[in-house]
Amino acid sequence: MRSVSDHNPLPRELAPGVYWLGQCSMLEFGGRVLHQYASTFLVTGSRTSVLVEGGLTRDVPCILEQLEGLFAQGVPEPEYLFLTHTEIPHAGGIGRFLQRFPDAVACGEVRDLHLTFPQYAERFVAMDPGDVIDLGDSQFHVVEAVFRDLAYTRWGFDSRRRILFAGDRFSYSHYHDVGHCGAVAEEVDGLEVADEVALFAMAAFFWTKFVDVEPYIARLNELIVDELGVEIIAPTHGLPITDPAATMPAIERGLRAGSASGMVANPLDNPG
Amino acid sequence: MTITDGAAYALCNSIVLSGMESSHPAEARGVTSSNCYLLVEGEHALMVDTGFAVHQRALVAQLEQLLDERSQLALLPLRFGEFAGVCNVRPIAERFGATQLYGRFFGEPDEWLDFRPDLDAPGAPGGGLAELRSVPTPADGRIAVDPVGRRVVEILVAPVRLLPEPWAYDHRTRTLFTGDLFGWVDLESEGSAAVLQESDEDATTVEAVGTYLERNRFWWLAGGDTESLRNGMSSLAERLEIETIAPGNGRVLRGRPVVERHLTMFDEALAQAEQRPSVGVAAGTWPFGG
Ligand SMILES: [Zn+2]
Ligand SMILES: [Zn+2]
Repeated sequence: MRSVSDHNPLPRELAPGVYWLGQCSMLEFGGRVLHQYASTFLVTGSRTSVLVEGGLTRDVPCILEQLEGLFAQGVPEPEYLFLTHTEIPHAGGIGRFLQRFPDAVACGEVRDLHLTFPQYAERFVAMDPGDVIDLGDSQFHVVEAVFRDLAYTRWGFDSRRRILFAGDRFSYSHYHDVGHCGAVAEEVDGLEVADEVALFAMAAFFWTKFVDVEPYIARLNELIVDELGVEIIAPTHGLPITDPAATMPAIERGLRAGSASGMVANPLDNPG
Repeated sequence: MTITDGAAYALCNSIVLSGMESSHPAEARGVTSSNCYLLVEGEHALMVDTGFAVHQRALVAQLEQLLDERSQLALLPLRFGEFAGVCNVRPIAERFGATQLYGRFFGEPDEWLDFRPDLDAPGAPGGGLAELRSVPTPADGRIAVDPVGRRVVEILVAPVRLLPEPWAYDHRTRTLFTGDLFGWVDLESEGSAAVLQESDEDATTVEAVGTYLERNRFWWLAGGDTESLRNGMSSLAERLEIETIAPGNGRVLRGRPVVERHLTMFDEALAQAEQRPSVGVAAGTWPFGG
Protein backbone atom coordinates (compact mmCIF):
# COMPACT_ATOMS: atom_id res chain seq x y z
CA MET A 1 0.00 0.00 0.00
CA ARG A 2 1.28 3.46 -0.85
CA SER A 3 1.27 5.71 2.15
CA VAL A 4 0.06 9.01 0.79
CA SER A 5 -3.53 10.16 1.05
CA ASP A 6 -5.30 11.09 -2.22
CA HIS A 7 -6.91 14.15 -0.78
CA ASN A 8 -4.56 17.06 -0.02
CA PRO A 9 -5.96 20.33 1.31
CA LEU A 10 -2.46 21.86 1.71
CA PRO A 11 -0.90 24.37 1.29
CA ARG A 12 -2.72 26.40 3.90
CA GLU A 13 -1.83 29.93 4.98
CA LEU A 14 -1.67 29.66 8.78
CA ALA A 15 -1.08 33.38 9.26
CA PRO A 16 -0.30 36.12 6.73
CA GLY A 17 2.79 34.92 4.84
CA VAL A 18 3.26 31.65 6.74
CA TYR A 19 2.32 28.55 4.78
CA TRP A 20 1.79 24.97 5.94
CA LEU A 21 3.09 22.63 3.23
CA GLY A 22 3.28 18.92 2.58
CA GLN A 23 0.74 16.17 2.60
CA CYS A 24 -0.85 13.72 4.96
CA SER A 25 0.39 10.16 5.05
CA MET A 26 -1.27 7.09 6.44
CA LEU A 27 0.28 4.61 8.76
CA GLU A 28 -0.98 1.56 10.52
CA PHE A 29 -0.54 1.59 14.23
CA GLY A 30 -2.08 -0.84 16.69
CA GLY A 31 -4.39 -2.17 13.97
CA ARG A 32 -5.78 1.28 13.10
CA VAL A 33 -5.00 3.52 10.19
CA LEU A 34 -3.84 6.91 11.39
CA HIS A 35 -3.03 9.97 9.37
CA GLN A 36 0.17 11.77 10.13
CA TYR A 37 2.33 14.61 8.90
CA ALA A 38 6.00 15.23 8.42
CA SER A 39 5.12 18.86 7.79
CA THR A 40 7.16 21.64 6.26
CA PHE A 41 6.40 25.37 6.61
CA LEU A 42 7.40 28.42 4.58
CA VAL A 43 7.86 31.52 6.71
CA THR A 44 8.11 34.55 4.47
CA GLY A 45 9.34 38.08 5.10
CA SER A 46 9.80 41.15 2.96
CA ARG A 47 13.48 40.26 2.29
CA THR A 48 13.65 36.47 2.33
CA SER A 49 12.03 33.28 3.55
CA VAL A 50 12.81 30.31 5.79
CA LEU A 51 11.67 26.81 4.94
CA VAL A 52 11.10 25.03 8.26
CA GLU A 53 11.78 21.25 8.34
CA GLY A 54 12.89 18.95 5.54
CA GLY A 55 10.04 16.45 5.24
CA LEU A 56 10.27 12.96 3.77
CA THR A 57 11.48 12.53 0.19
CA ARG A 58 8.06 11.29 -0.94
CA ASP A 59 6.66 14.71 0.00
CA VAL A 60 9.35 16.73 -1.80
CA PRO A 61 7.75 16.88 -5.28
CA CYS A 62 4.46 17.94 -3.68
CA ILE A 63 6.16 20.59 -1.50
CA LEU A 64 8.16 21.96 -4.45
CA GLU A 65 4.98 22.26 -6.48
CA GLN A 66 3.28 24.09 -3.60
CA LEU A 67 6.32 26.38 -3.31
CA GLU A 68 6.39 27.17 -7.04
CA GLY A 69 2.78 28.30 -6.74
CA LEU A 70 3.76 30.69 -3.94
CA PHE A 71 6.84 32.01 -5.76
CA ALA A 72 4.60 32.76 -8.75
CA GLN A 73 2.63 35.03 -6.41
CA GLY A 74 5.81 36.95 -5.51
CA VAL A 75 6.81 35.20 -2.28
CA PRO A 76 10.64 35.28 -1.89
CA GLU A 77 12.53 31.98 -2.30
CA PRO A 78 14.06 30.66 0.93
CA GLU A 79 17.69 31.43 1.73
CA TYR A 80 17.43 29.40 4.93
CA LEU A 81 16.36 25.78 5.32
CA PHE A 82 15.80 25.37 9.05
CA LEU A 83 15.84 21.90 10.63
CA THR A 84 14.72 21.17 14.19
CA HIS A 85 16.85 18.01 14.12
CA THR A 86 18.25 15.61 11.59
CA GLU A 87 16.05 12.56 12.09
CA ILE A 88 14.69 11.26 8.79
CA PRO A 89 11.05 12.48 9.23
CA HIS A 90 12.42 15.99 9.82
CA ALA A 91 15.36 16.14 7.43
CA GLY A 92 14.75 13.47 4.77
CA GLY A 93 14.18 16.01 1.99
CA ILE A 94 16.98 18.44 2.90
CA GLY A 95 19.35 17.27 0.15
CA ARG A 96 16.61 17.75 -2.43
CA PHE A 97 15.88 21.27 -1.13
CA LEU A 98 19.60 22.18 -1.14
CA GLN A 99 19.69 21.01 -4.75
CA ARG A 100 16.65 23.08 -5.72
CA PHE A 101 17.74 26.25 -3.81
CA PRO A 102 21.47 26.57 -4.59
CA ASP A 103 21.83 29.86 -2.69
CA ALA A 104 20.27 28.53 0.53
CA VAL A 105 21.97 27.17 3.63
CA ALA A 106 20.65 24.42 5.89
CA CYS A 107 20.62 25.64 9.47
CA GLY A 108 19.48 24.79 12.99
CA GLU A 109 20.45 21.30 14.22
CA VAL A 110 22.52 20.09 11.30
CA ARG A 111 24.62 17.32 12.83
CA ASP A 112 25.59 14.41 10.54
CA LEU A 113 24.68 16.33 7.38
CA HIS A 114 28.36 16.76 6.43
CA LEU A 115 28.63 12.95 6.48
CA THR A 116 25.41 12.54 4.49
CA PHE A 117 25.76 15.30 1.88
CA PRO A 118 29.53 15.99 1.68
CA GLN A 119 28.98 17.89 -1.58
CA TYR A 120 27.08 20.55 0.40
CA ALA A 121 29.47 20.65 3.40
CA GLU A 122 29.95 24.43 3.07
CA ARG A 123 26.22 25.03 3.35
CA PHE A 124 25.50 23.76 6.86
CA VAL A 125 25.19 26.35 9.63
CA ALA A 126 24.77 25.10 13.21
CA MET A 127 22.59 27.52 15.14
CA ASP A 128 22.12 27.98 18.87
CA PRO A 129 19.19 29.30 20.88
CA GLY A 130 19.39 33.10 20.65
CA ASP A 131 20.49 33.17 17.01
CA VAL A 132 18.25 35.24 14.74
CA ILE A 133 17.54 35.20 11.01
CA ASP A 134 16.44 38.55 9.59
CA LEU A 135 13.53 38.10 7.17
CA GLY A 136 13.09 41.84 6.60
CA ASP A 137 9.80 42.69 8.26
CA SER A 138 10.05 39.77 10.68
CA GLN A 139 12.69 37.87 12.62
CA PHE A 140 13.04 34.12 12.86
CA HIS A 141 14.47 33.27 16.28
CA VAL A 142 16.18 30.00 17.12
CA VAL A 143 14.81 28.96 20.52
CA GLU A 144 15.45 26.17 22.99
CA ALA A 145 13.60 22.92 22.37
CA VAL A 146 11.98 22.25 25.71
CA PHE A 147 10.77 18.81 24.63
CA ARG A 148 12.87 16.71 22.28
CA ASP A 149 14.34 13.37 21.42
CA LEU A 150 17.84 14.12 20.06
CA ALA A 151 19.91 16.52 22.15
CA TYR A 152 20.68 19.85 20.42
CA THR A 153 17.24 19.91 18.81
CA ARG A 154 16.23 23.51 18.01
CA TRP A 155 12.84 25.17 17.74
CA GLY A 156 12.04 28.30 15.75
CA PHE A 157 9.86 31.34 16.44
CA ASP A 158 8.60 33.94 13.98
CA SER A 159 8.39 37.29 15.75
CA ARG A 160 5.80 39.05 13.59
CA ARG A 161 3.22 36.28 13.47
CA ARG A 162 4.16 34.81 16.85
CA ILE A 163 4.35 31.24 15.57
CA LEU A 164 6.39 28.59 17.39
CA PHE A 165 7.76 25.77 15.24
CA ALA A 166 7.99 23.06 17.84
CA GLY A 167 9.34 19.96 16.08
CA ASP A 168 8.40 16.80 17.94
CA ARG A 169 6.50 18.56 20.70
CA PHE A 170 2.70 18.54 20.32
CA SER A 171 3.03 15.52 18.09
CA TYR A 172 0.02 13.41 17.54
CA SER A 173 -1.70 11.58 14.76
CA HIS A 174 -5.29 11.95 13.74
CA TYR A 175 -7.84 9.28 13.00
CA HIS A 176 -8.58 8.12 9.51
CA ASP A 177 -11.04 10.78 8.62
CA VAL A 178 -10.11 12.94 5.66
CA GLY A 179 -12.10 15.77 7.23
CA HIS A 180 -9.19 16.17 9.66
CA CYS A 181 -6.55 16.57 6.97
CA GLY A 182 -5.39 20.15 6.65
CA ALA A 183 -7.43 21.26 9.65
CA VAL A 184 -6.02 22.98 12.71
CA ALA A 185 -6.61 21.32 16.09
CA GLU A 186 -9.41 23.67 17.10
CA GLU A 187 -11.41 22.90 13.93
CA VAL A 188 -11.62 19.18 14.59
CA ASP A 189 -14.63 18.25 16.63
CA GLY A 190 -13.93 15.52 19.10
CA LEU A 191 -10.21 15.33 18.33
CA GLU A 192 -8.99 13.47 21.35
CA VAL A 193 -5.80 15.47 21.59
CA ALA A 194 -4.91 14.10 25.02
CA ASP A 195 -5.27 10.46 23.87
CA GLU A 196 -3.30 11.11 20.74
CA VAL A 197 -0.45 12.84 22.53
CA ALA A 198 -0.32 10.00 25.06
CA LEU A 199 -0.22 7.44 22.27
CA PHE A 200 2.57 9.23 20.49
CA ALA A 201 4.58 9.86 23.66
CA MET A 202 4.30 6.20 24.57
CA ALA A 203 5.48 5.06 21.19
CA ALA A 204 8.11 7.59 20.28
CA PHE A 205 9.21 9.23 23.53
CA PHE A 206 10.27 6.35 25.73
CA TRP A 207 12.24 8.71 27.99
CA THR A 208 9.10 10.42 29.27
CA LYS A 209 8.38 7.34 31.39
CA PHE A 210 11.53 7.73 33.46
CA VAL A 211 11.47 11.42 34.31
CA ASP A 212 9.31 13.90 36.14
CA VAL A 213 7.58 15.71 33.24
CA GLU A 214 6.37 18.64 35.38
CA PRO A 215 9.52 20.80 34.99
CA TYR A 216 9.22 20.45 31.20
CA ILE A 217 5.56 21.47 31.27
CA ALA A 218 6.36 24.43 33.53
CA ARG A 219 9.24 25.63 31.33
CA LEU A 220 7.10 25.24 28.25
CA ASN A 221 4.32 27.40 29.66
CA GLU A 222 6.88 30.00 30.71
CA LEU A 223 8.41 30.06 27.21
CA ILE A 224 5.11 30.06 25.30
CA VAL A 225 3.11 32.44 27.47
CA ASP A 226 5.52 34.72 29.33
CA GLU A 227 8.60 34.94 27.12
CA LEU A 228 7.40 34.60 23.54
CA GLY A 229 3.67 35.29 23.62
CA VAL A 230 3.03 32.47 21.15
CA GLU A 231 -0.21 32.70 19.18
CA ILE A 232 0.14 29.66 16.93
CA ILE A 233 2.03 26.42 17.52
CA ALA A 234 3.15 24.55 14.41
CA PRO A 235 4.29 21.02 15.24
CA THR A 236 5.94 18.81 12.64
CA HIS A 237 3.73 15.76 13.13
CA GLY A 238 0.44 17.13 14.47
CA LEU A 239 -2.25 19.60 13.53
CA PRO A 240 -1.32 23.25 14.14
CA ILE A 241 -2.69 24.77 17.32
CA THR A 242 -4.22 28.20 16.81
CA ASP A 243 -5.54 28.72 20.33
CA PRO A 244 -2.72 27.58 22.63
CA ALA A 245 -4.48 28.69 25.81
CA ALA A 246 -7.48 26.47 25.03
CA THR A 247 -5.65 23.44 23.66
CA MET A 248 -2.55 23.31 25.90
CA PRO A 249 -4.33 21.70 28.86
CA ALA A 250 -5.29 18.69 26.69
CA ILE A 251 -1.71 18.42 25.43
CA GLU A 252 -0.42 18.51 28.99
CA ARG A 253 -2.91 15.84 30.08
CA GLY A 254 -1.71 13.68 27.20
CA LEU A 255 1.92 14.09 28.12
CA ARG A 256 1.23 13.22 31.74
CA ALA A 257 -0.80 10.17 30.70
CA GLY A 258 1.92 8.98 28.31
CA SER A 259 4.53 9.40 31.02
CA ALA A 260 2.49 7.59 33.66
CA SER A 261 1.47 4.76 31.35
CA GLY A 262 3.20 1.48 32.11
CA MET A 263 2.65 0.53 28.47
CA VAL A 264 5.60 0.55 26.18
CA ALA A 265 4.71 0.29 22.54
CA ASN A 266 6.74 -2.05 20.41
CA PRO A 267 9.15 0.21 18.55
CA LEU A 268 8.99 -2.17 15.61
CA ASP A 269 5.54 -0.69 14.93
CA ASN A 270 7.24 2.61 14.35
CA PRO A 271 4.85 5.53 14.44
CA GLY A 272 7.35 7.94 12.87
CA MET B 1 37.06 -6.95 10.48
CA THR B 2 36.10 -10.54 11.22
CA ILE B 3 33.84 -11.26 14.18
CA THR B 4 33.36 -14.95 13.32
CA ASP B 5 35.08 -16.26 10.21
CA GLY B 6 32.62 -16.96 7.41
CA ALA B 7 29.67 -15.80 9.51
CA ALA B 8 29.91 -12.24 10.84
CA TYR B 9 31.94 -9.18 9.87
CA ALA B 10 32.14 -5.60 11.10
CA LEU B 11 32.48 -2.96 8.38
CA CYS B 12 34.05 -0.03 10.23
CA ASN B 13 35.04 3.36 8.86
CA SER B 14 36.63 6.17 10.85
CA ILE B 15 35.07 9.54 11.62
CA VAL B 16 37.16 12.37 13.09
CA LEU B 17 34.88 14.03 15.64
CA SER B 18 34.25 17.73 15.05
CA GLY B 19 31.38 18.34 17.46
CA MET B 20 28.84 17.93 14.67
CA GLU B 21 28.28 14.17 14.91
CA SER B 22 25.03 13.08 16.54
CA SER B 23 26.72 10.00 18.01
CA HIS B 24 28.77 12.07 20.46
CA PRO B 25 28.50 15.06 22.79
CA ALA B 26 29.27 18.36 21.03
CA GLU B 27 32.43 18.73 23.16
CA ALA B 28 33.83 15.31 22.20
CA ARG B 29 36.92 15.16 20.04
CA GLY B 30 38.98 12.23 18.84
CA VAL B 31 38.12 9.48 16.40
CA THR B 32 35.15 7.17 16.32
CA SER B 33 34.00 4.74 13.71
CA SER B 34 30.75 4.32 11.88
CA ASN B 35 29.89 0.62 11.94
CA CYS B 36 27.82 -1.58 9.68
CA TYR B 37 27.77 -5.37 9.90
CA LEU B 38 27.44 -8.27 7.49
CA LEU B 39 26.05 -11.65 8.56
CA VAL B 40 26.72 -14.46 6.11
CA GLU B 41 25.05 -17.87 5.91
CA GLY B 42 26.04 -19.76 2.76
CA GLU B 43 24.95 -17.69 -0.22
CA HIS B 44 22.69 -15.53 1.92
CA ALA B 45 23.76 -12.38 3.67
CA LEU B 46 22.11 -9.78 5.88
CA MET B 47 23.59 -6.29 6.24
CA VAL B 48 22.91 -4.41 9.47
CA ASP B 49 22.76 -0.63 8.77
CA THR B 50 24.34 0.95 5.71
CA GLY B 51 26.45 3.86 7.03
CA PHE B 52 27.00 7.43 5.90
CA ALA B 53 27.40 8.64 2.31
CA VAL B 54 31.05 9.63 2.94
CA HIS B 55 31.82 5.93 3.43
CA GLN B 56 29.95 4.63 0.40
CA ARG B 57 33.02 3.72 -1.62
CA ALA B 58 34.80 2.10 1.32
CA LEU B 59 31.71 0.08 2.25
CA VAL B 60 31.13 -1.15 -1.28
CA ALA B 61 34.79 -2.24 -1.43
CA GLN B 62 34.45 -4.01 1.94
CA LEU B 63 31.32 -5.81 0.72
CA GLU B 64 33.00 -6.79 -2.54
CA GLN B 65 35.59 -8.71 -0.51
CA LEU B 66 32.88 -10.64 1.32
CA LEU B 67 30.17 -11.22 -1.28
CA ASP B 68 30.31 -12.84 -4.69
CA GLU B 69 28.08 -13.09 -7.75
CA ARG B 70 25.85 -15.74 -6.14
CA SER B 71 25.32 -13.82 -2.90
CA GLN B 72 21.78 -12.84 -2.00
CA LEU B 73 21.80 -9.76 0.16
CA ALA B 74 19.03 -8.39 2.37
CA LEU B 75 19.20 -5.15 4.38
CA LEU B 76 18.29 -4.58 8.01
CA PRO B 77 18.52 -0.87 8.91
CA LEU B 78 18.24 -0.92 12.70
CA ARG B 79 18.94 2.83 12.77
CA PHE B 80 16.21 3.48 10.24
CA GLY B 81 15.33 6.96 11.50
CA GLU B 82 18.84 8.37 11.11
CA PHE B 83 21.15 9.03 8.20
CA ALA B 84 23.81 6.78 9.83
CA GLY B 85 21.60 3.78 9.13
CA VAL B 86 20.34 4.41 5.64
CA CYS B 87 22.59 6.59 3.44
CA ASN B 88 23.83 3.69 1.37
CA VAL B 89 20.68 1.63 0.98
CA ARG B 90 20.33 2.74 -2.62
CA PRO B 91 23.92 2.26 -3.89
CA ILE B 92 24.28 -1.07 -2.05
CA ALA B 93 20.93 -2.33 -3.34
CA GLU B 94 21.98 -1.35 -6.86
CA ARG B 95 25.50 -2.77 -6.72
CA PHE B 96 24.64 -6.08 -5.02
CA GLY B 97 21.07 -6.60 -6.21
CA ALA B 98 19.46 -6.53 -2.78
CA THR B 99 15.69 -6.86 -3.07
CA GLN B 100 14.58 -7.00 0.57
CA LEU B 101 14.70 -4.42 3.31
CA TYR B 102 13.43 -5.49 6.73
CA GLY B 103 11.03 -3.19 8.54
CA ARG B 104 8.31 -0.99 7.16
CA PHE B 105 9.05 2.44 8.47
CA PHE B 106 8.03 5.46 6.45
CA GLY B 107 6.43 3.67 3.50
CA GLU B 108 8.07 1.77 0.66
CA PRO B 109 11.85 2.28 0.27
CA ASP B 110 11.51 4.62 -2.70
CA GLU B 111 9.19 6.86 -0.66
CA TRP B 112 11.80 7.82 1.94
CA LEU B 113 15.25 6.55 0.98
CA ASP B 114 15.83 8.46 -2.24
CA PHE B 115 17.30 11.47 -0.46
CA ARG B 116 20.78 11.75 -2.05
CA PRO B 117 20.87 14.04 -5.10
CA ASP B 118 24.42 12.86 -5.86
CA LEU B 119 23.08 9.42 -6.81
CA ASP B 120 20.69 10.67 -9.46
CA ALA B 121 21.24 9.29 -12.91
CA PRO B 122 19.35 11.18 -15.61
CA GLY B 123 16.12 9.38 -16.42
CA ALA B 124 16.40 6.94 -13.52
CA PRO B 125 14.62 8.48 -10.56
CA GLY B 126 14.96 6.29 -7.48
CA GLY B 127 17.22 3.83 -9.31
CA GLY B 128 17.42 0.44 -7.61
CA LEU B 129 15.11 1.53 -4.82
CA ALA B 130 12.17 0.64 -7.04
CA GLU B 131 13.35 -3.01 -6.96
CA LEU B 132 13.66 -3.03 -3.19
CA ARG B 133 10.66 -4.37 -1.27
CA SER B 134 10.09 -3.66 2.39
CA VAL B 135 9.42 -6.81 4.36
CA PRO B 136 7.56 -6.39 7.65
CA THR B 137 9.51 -7.66 10.63
CA PRO B 138 7.90 -11.03 11.55
CA ALA B 139 5.63 -10.82 14.59
CA ASP B 140 7.94 -13.13 16.56
CA GLY B 141 10.84 -10.81 15.76
CA ARG B 142 12.88 -13.62 14.19
CA ILE B 143 14.50 -12.89 10.85
CA ALA B 144 15.97 -15.84 8.94
CA VAL B 145 19.25 -14.99 7.24
CA ASP B 146 18.91 -18.08 5.02
CA PRO B 147 15.63 -19.38 3.53
CA VAL B 148 15.50 -22.55 5.64
CA GLY B 149 16.06 -20.60 8.83
CA ARG B 150 19.26 -22.25 10.07
CA ARG B 151 20.51 -18.81 10.95
CA VAL B 152 18.18 -16.59 12.93
CA VAL B 153 18.59 -12.97 13.94
CA GLU B 154 16.29 -11.91 16.74
CA ILE B 155 14.96 -8.36 16.67
CA LEU B 156 14.79 -6.94 20.18
CA VAL B 157 13.11 -4.02 21.86
CA ALA B 158 16.11 -2.04 23.14
CA PRO B 159 15.85 -1.95 26.95
CA VAL B 160 17.38 1.55 26.99
CA ARG B 161 16.70 3.80 24.02
CA LEU B 162 16.13 7.36 22.93
CA LEU B 163 14.58 6.77 19.50
CA PRO B 164 12.18 3.93 18.72
CA GLU B 165 14.91 1.90 17.05
CA PRO B 166 15.37 -1.82 17.76
CA TRP B 167 18.42 -3.89 18.67
CA ALA B 168 19.19 -7.32 17.24
CA TYR B 169 20.94 -10.52 18.33
CA ASP B 170 22.62 -13.06 16.10
CA HIS B 171 22.29 -16.42 17.89
CA ARG B 172 24.99 -18.16 15.86
CA THR B 173 27.80 -15.72 16.63
CA ARG B 174 26.32 -14.42 19.93
CA THR B 175 26.57 -10.85 18.72
CA LEU B 176 24.32 -8.12 20.12
CA PHE B 177 23.72 -5.13 17.82
CA THR B 178 23.06 -2.08 19.98
CA GLY B 179 22.58 0.87 17.60
CA ASP B 180 23.32 4.14 19.43
CA LEU B 181 24.36 2.53 22.75
CA PHE B 182 27.80 1.17 23.74
CA GLY B 183 29.49 3.50 21.26
CA TRP B 184 31.72 5.11 23.87
CA VAL B 185 35.09 3.53 23.09
CA ASP B 186 36.96 5.74 20.62
CA LEU B 187 39.63 4.68 18.15
CA GLU B 188 43.26 5.52 18.86
CA SER B 189 43.62 7.28 15.54
CA GLU B 190 42.03 7.48 12.13
CA GLY B 191 42.01 4.03 10.56
CA SER B 192 43.25 2.25 13.71
CA ALA B 193 41.61 -0.92 15.04
CA ALA B 194 37.88 -0.55 15.56
CA VAL B 195 37.74 -3.52 17.91
CA LEU B 196 38.43 -3.74 21.62
CA GLN B 197 39.63 -7.15 22.82
CA GLU B 198 40.78 -8.45 26.16
CA SER B 199 44.45 -8.01 25.18
CA ASP B 200 43.92 -4.30 24.40
CA GLU B 201 44.40 -1.56 26.91
CA ASP B 202 41.01 -0.13 27.91
CA ALA B 203 41.02 3.19 29.74
CA THR B 204 37.20 3.58 29.70
CA THR B 205 35.81 4.75 33.04
CA VAL B 206 32.26 4.85 34.41
CA GLU B 207 32.57 8.66 34.38
CA ALA B 208 33.43 8.64 30.67
CA VAL B 209 30.44 6.38 29.95
CA GLY B 210 28.23 8.76 31.98
CA THR B 211 29.45 11.80 30.06
CA TYR B 212 28.97 10.06 26.71
CA LEU B 213 25.38 9.24 27.68
CA GLU B 214 24.26 12.31 29.56
CA ARG B 215 25.86 15.00 27.39
CA ASN B 216 24.10 13.71 24.30
CA ARG B 217 21.24 11.33 23.50
CA PHE B 218 20.70 10.12 27.03
CA TRP B 219 20.45 13.57 28.62
CA TRP B 220 17.26 12.38 30.37
CA LEU B 221 19.06 9.75 32.47
CA ALA B 222 20.42 12.32 34.93
CA GLY B 223 17.94 12.49 37.77
CA GLY B 224 15.72 9.93 36.04
CA ASP B 225 14.35 6.71 37.45
CA THR B 226 16.90 4.27 36.04
CA GLU B 227 16.17 1.15 38.06
CA SER B 228 13.82 -0.45 35.55
CA LEU B 229 16.26 0.40 32.76
CA ARG B 230 19.05 -1.38 34.66
CA ASN B 231 16.77 -4.38 35.25
CA GLY B 232 15.79 -4.47 31.59
CA MET B 233 19.42 -4.45 30.49
CA SER B 234 20.50 -7.11 32.98
CA SER B 235 17.66 -9.49 32.16
CA LEU B 236 18.51 -9.19 28.49
CA ALA B 237 22.17 -9.90 29.24
CA GLU B 238 21.15 -12.92 31.35
CA ARG B 239 18.92 -14.36 28.67
CA LEU B 240 21.38 -13.93 25.81
CA GLU B 241 24.94 -15.15 25.89
CA ILE B 242 26.69 -12.09 24.56
CA GLU B 243 30.19 -12.59 23.21
CA THR B 244 30.34 -9.45 21.11
CA ILE B 245 28.63 -6.07 21.51
CA ALA B 246 28.34 -4.52 18.06
CA PRO B 247 27.45 -0.82 18.38
CA GLY B 248 26.59 1.54 15.53
CA ASN B 249 29.69 3.56 16.26
CA GLY B 250 32.88 3.25 18.31
CA ARG B 251 34.96 0.14 18.86
CA VAL B 252 33.32 -3.29 18.67
CA LEU B 253 33.49 -4.91 22.13
CA ARG B 254 34.75 -8.48 21.75
CA GLY B 255 34.97 -11.39 24.14
CA ARG B 256 33.23 -12.18 27.43
CA PRO B 257 35.61 -10.22 29.71
CA VAL B 258 35.30 -7.03 27.63
CA VAL B 259 31.53 -7.44 27.29
CA GLU B 260 31.13 -8.05 31.04
CA ARG B 261 33.25 -5.02 31.90
CA HIS B 262 31.25 -2.69 29.68
CA LEU B 263 27.89 -4.07 30.83
CA THR B 264 29.01 -3.41 34.40
CA MET B 265 30.20 0.13 33.59
CA PHE B 266 26.89 0.83 31.83
CA ASP B 267 24.98 -0.42 34.86
CA GLU B 268 27.06 1.73 37.20
CA ALA B 269 26.66 4.77 34.94
CA LEU B 270 22.86 4.27 35.02
CA ALA B 271 22.93 3.94 38.82
CA GLN B 272 25.05 7.10 39.19
CA ALA B 273 22.88 9.05 36.74
CA GLU B 274 19.89 8.59 39.03
CA GLN B 275 21.76 10.37 41.81
CA ARG B 276 22.53 13.44 39.73
CA PRO B 277 20.22 16.43 39.28
CA SER B 278 18.15 16.48 36.10
CA VAL B 279 19.53 18.49 33.18
CA GLY B 280 16.48 17.83 31.02
CA VAL B 281 15.19 21.37 30.77
CA ALA B 282 18.66 22.98 30.56
CA ALA B 283 19.72 20.57 27.81
CA GLY B 284 17.42 22.49 25.47
CA THR B 285 19.83 25.43 25.65
CA TRP B 286 23.12 23.58 25.14
CA PRO B 287 25.11 25.40 22.45
CA PHE B 288 27.07 23.60 19.74
CA GLY B 289 30.25 25.33 20.85
CA GLY B 290 30.04 23.24 24.08
ZN1 LIG C 1 12.51 13.38 16.65
ZN1 LIG D 1 9.67 13.54 14.74
